[in-house]
Formats: sequence, structure tokens, C-alpha cells
Amino acid sequence: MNIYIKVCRKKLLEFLKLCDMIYVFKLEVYRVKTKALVKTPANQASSIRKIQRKDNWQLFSLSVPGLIVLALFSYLPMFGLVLAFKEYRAIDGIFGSQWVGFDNFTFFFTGKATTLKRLLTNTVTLNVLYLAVNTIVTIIMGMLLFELKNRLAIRVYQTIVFLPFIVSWVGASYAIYANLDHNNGIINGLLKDWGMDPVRWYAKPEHWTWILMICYLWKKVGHGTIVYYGNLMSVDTSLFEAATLDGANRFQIMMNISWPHIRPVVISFTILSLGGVFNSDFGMFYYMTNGNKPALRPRTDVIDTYIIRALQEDIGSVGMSTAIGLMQSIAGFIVLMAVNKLASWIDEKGTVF
Amino acid sequence: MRIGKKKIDIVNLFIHLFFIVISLAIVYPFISMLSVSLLSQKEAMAEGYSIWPKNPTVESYVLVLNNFSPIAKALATSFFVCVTGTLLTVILNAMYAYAVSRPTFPARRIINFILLFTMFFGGGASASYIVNVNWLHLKNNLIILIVPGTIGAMSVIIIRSFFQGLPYGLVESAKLDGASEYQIFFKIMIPLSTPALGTIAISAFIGYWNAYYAPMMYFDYGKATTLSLYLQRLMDRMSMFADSANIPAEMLDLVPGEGMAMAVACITVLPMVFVFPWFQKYFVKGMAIGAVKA
Repeated sequence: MNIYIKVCRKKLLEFLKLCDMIYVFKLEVYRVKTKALVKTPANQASSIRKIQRKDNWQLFSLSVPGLIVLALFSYLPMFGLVLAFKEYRAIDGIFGSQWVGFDNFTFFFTGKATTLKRLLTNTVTLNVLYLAVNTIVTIIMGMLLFELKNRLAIRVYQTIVFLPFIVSWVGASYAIYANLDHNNGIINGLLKDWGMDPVRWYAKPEHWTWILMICYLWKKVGHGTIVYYGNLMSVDTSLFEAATLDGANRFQIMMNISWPHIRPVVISFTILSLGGVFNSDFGMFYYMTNGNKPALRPRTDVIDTYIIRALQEDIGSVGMSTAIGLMQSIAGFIVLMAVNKLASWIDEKGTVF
Repeated sequence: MRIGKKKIDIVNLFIHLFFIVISLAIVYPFISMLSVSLLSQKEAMAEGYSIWPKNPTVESYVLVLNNFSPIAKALATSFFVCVTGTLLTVILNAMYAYAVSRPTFPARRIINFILLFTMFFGGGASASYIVNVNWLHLKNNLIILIVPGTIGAMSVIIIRSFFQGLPYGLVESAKLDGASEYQIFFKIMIPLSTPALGTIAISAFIGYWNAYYAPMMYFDYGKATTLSLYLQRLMDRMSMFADSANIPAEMLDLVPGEGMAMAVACITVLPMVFVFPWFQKYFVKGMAIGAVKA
């Protein structure tokens, strides 16, 4: 019985080997044929070419649905950009509206300069401020998390820190409303308990730079922390051991091994975010301020909220907001390129392109 | 030796303390929402909101359940949008990624470029809005919520790098056995790349569930709403009434009780919060790939 099984197994193995050999042979032939395809005359390889062509058509057909979506929702709107040079009227449609040349851009220099100045200063200063603070906080948190050794604790912290990432700004606006509402809000209740005057938060724009900063950090800190932490996990551990043997303390290890390791990632993340310095997080600026409350606009009105208002309430012209949007993406692109160049001088590894 | 060890423990303690404080700060908004939704209307009127309701009740939730029909409708719409959107996202991105991932496919560079270009340049908010409304006539149409976000450069990059990580011999041997590209894609690539597709599916689902921009822009009052849009409108009304000092008595019925609004918000937000930790692994993995390839 035993021998029988052994023989069987042997035969089977031989058979499998044979199959394998045939397979490998066929594979080689296929490879040679497809390679030869480039050089052989058409009549010789016509059948293979036919197969190749069929394959290519099938591959292309797989990408067609995606291409259609891109054409309709990404490329078609680019034609809408002509509106930046037109005076849009709903009745005339996009192509029927009158050309006005660069009139929509002139208000950058004249006319509603105060609005524009407010929009630009708010957008750029708030974005840069939030980005800077967020970067610093996430680097510190990522590096500190890496210092911990307790697996369970690390997982718990990671999960909690990441939670706000999956909550929309609309949901978050309820939390902030519960805290800041004038009559019933939790914070005003506490202020009253401590014998202080309640604050009309939704009427005091000066506080909102900081309130929004807290919201921004609350939402975004988890993402950066996890990215930097994950990146630190790939450091060669022998570096740490060697450093410890040489008598480096923890702080020195952090500054001389951990930090140089994540620096390129920090730089490329910052470059990418700076590319969007003229595009703010619309959800935050709109919903956190309770639908872009007029009273809070001096400090919280940004380009994106202005564009939405222009579309919904007809306060500005569509042409103008398209013009602003166009300038937004062009300026963003220029900043991206400039910062990328700058980064290449600081650290070659950090550049995006 | 001993001193050194003790010192490290103290440092660790401080780091733990730091993270505990931060975790509490991050969880606080969720707790404040939850506790306001558990407040009784009377207590809220008399003493304002508080983090510790003295007599927590579920009366807001009962109220929500009693007036459930608009919410149920919104919930159903949200689910429909989420599920179809997620399925579409996964399949479209995977198909696109497969085409782009095949080195023998001559058009792959141009197809890849068509996608990547959209990362850096687009029509912008107002041009897109006008085109979608005037040319494609998609106002008040659920398609506008589902289709535009499906294909994304980042997801295609993630799936593509996963496909390229699979041994290429798989494709070649299937070819030898006479499989068509469709068969290779559906029978080999898709089953093998569930981790990558899972990552895309989860982030897509969260994205669709939370989407606020498109519903707000493209849907008029009284038309189909998603849960997120329903929440927005509720908040609009709430803050409007909070602004006006004296509300006429006959209008009071129209004011959504704030506890009730909070209850709806909790119903929207908390399930995600509780379910998410189980899927976090996939999510983080996808992000790591995205970060490297960006």
C-alpha cells in the first residue's frame, strides 16, 4: 500500500514536472513571439498582432467608462472656463453670452477691491497659519507616538486621533453649535458658572481665527500623525540600537535619526498642501460658521465661500467668480512649482516632481 | 542603569499623558453632541446644555422616530447613493487601473495622462456648476451625487500599484490558456486585489456618506435629500431661529427641537464612528500607498 502511494506520488510529480516544462516552454514561446512582434515583418506575425490588437481593444474598452466620466465631469467644465471672459446671463447660455474680454479680471485692481482684499488675505493667511501649525503638531505627535512601545495603547491612540477624519463638517457643525450657542451652549454655561459674561460667539469674528484653527487641527491631525508614524516604522532599527550603544539619549535619537528620516515626507506633504493655498477647505469655512454667517465674514470669508455665494445668491456675477476660480488654480499651480523648486534646494528627496 | 530605566518610564508616562489629553479633546465634540441629544427638552430650556445631563432621557430619539418619514426618506436616499456610488467607484477605478497597469498596452501613457492632468487643473466650482446644470441638466438629479466623484487619480494610482505588485506571470499564463482581457480582469485580478479594492471602497463609502457640497449645490428645497443635506437644512433653520429674539408662538412648532436635531446628527455620525475602527487597517494602508506615490 505504502509503496503504491509512493509510486503514485512519484508519477504524479513527474507528470507535474512535465506539465511545468511544457508550460514554461509555451511561456517562452509566447514571450519570444510578443517580443519579436516589434521586429518581424507584418505578414509573419499577423496572427499574433491580431491577438494583440484584440487585447488592446479590450483593455481600451475597460478604460472607456472612466474616460467618459472624466470627459463629462472634468474636461467639459474646462470649457465652462470661457465664462471668465464673458458676461454670463442664464437665458443666453454659455456660448450665447457676450464676450467682455478681461473685464471680469479688472476688479482685481479696481472696484470691489476691498472684498477681494479681504478674501485674499483671509484665504492665504488662514491657510498658511493652519498648515504651519498642523504640520508642526503632526510631526510632534507622529514622533512621540513612535516613542511608545505599548502596542495596544498605540492602536487606541491611532484610532481616536483618526476618528474626526471620517466625520463630515456638517456633523461637526452640530458639535460646535452645542458648545458655542449663545443661549444654551456648553461653553457659555461654564462661563456663567464661573461668574463670567457669556460671549456671543457667532457674532464675534475675532475669535474665529482660533476656533477654526482648533476645528482644523481636530479634523486633520490624525491623518498626518498616522502618515508620519507609518513612515517612521520603516526606519532601520539597527540605527537606533547603534545610537543607544554610542550613548545617545532619546532626544538626540529623535533629532538625529527620526527627524531626518521623515523630513522628505514632511516637505513633499507641505508642497502639495501649499499648492492648494488659494483653495480653502470649503466645508470648514462654510458649516463651522453656521452657513457662512454675515457677522463672521470679516475673518472667515474665503474665496471658496464667496464663489458659492455668487452662484447661490447672485451677489456677484458668475463670470467674476469663474475668473476668480481660474486665477485660483493658476496661482496655486505657480505656487506649487515655486515651492517644489525651493524644496529641491533644501532637500532633494522631498520634491514632488 | 536603574536610574536610566526609571527616567525613561517618566518620559513615557508624559507621552502617554499627552496622548490621553489629546484623545479626550478629540472625543469631546462627539460626547457633547451625544449628551445634548440625551438632554430632556425641559432641562435644556431651563439650564442650557451640559456635558452631564442630570436625567438623561431618550425622548429626543423617540421624537425623531415619531417624525421619522422625512428622515427615513433621507436615510434611504443616502444609502442608495452610498451603495451605488461605492460600487461604481470600485469597478470604474479598477477597470481604469487595469488598463493603465498593463505594460503591453500602447495607449496607457495617454490614458494615464488624461487622468493625472485632472489632478492639477480643473474647471473650478462655478464653471462646473454652470456646465452641469445647463448642459447636462443634472439639477435635482441623483446622478450628480453619484457619478462625478467616481474616478479619481489617487484611487487609480493605489489600485494600479497593487496590480503591478502582483506577479506578471499570472497574466501571461492566463493569456496562454486563451483567456481574454475581460476574463483576466474579472476572474484573476479582481479576486486577488480585494485589499486594495477594500481600501477604495471604504474611503468611497465615507466620502459619499459625508458628501455635503454637491447635495447643497444641486438640490432645491423639497427635492430628494441625503441625510447630510437634511442635517444642513435642519441646522439652517435652527440657527435662524436662534438669531431672532422672540419667536411667535405659532412658529414654535416649526422649530426643530435642538435635542431632536442633535439626535439626528448623532444618528448620522455615530454609526460611522463605531464601525470605522474595524476597517481602519485598510484605510491606513491605502493612505500610506497614496502618500508614497503622491
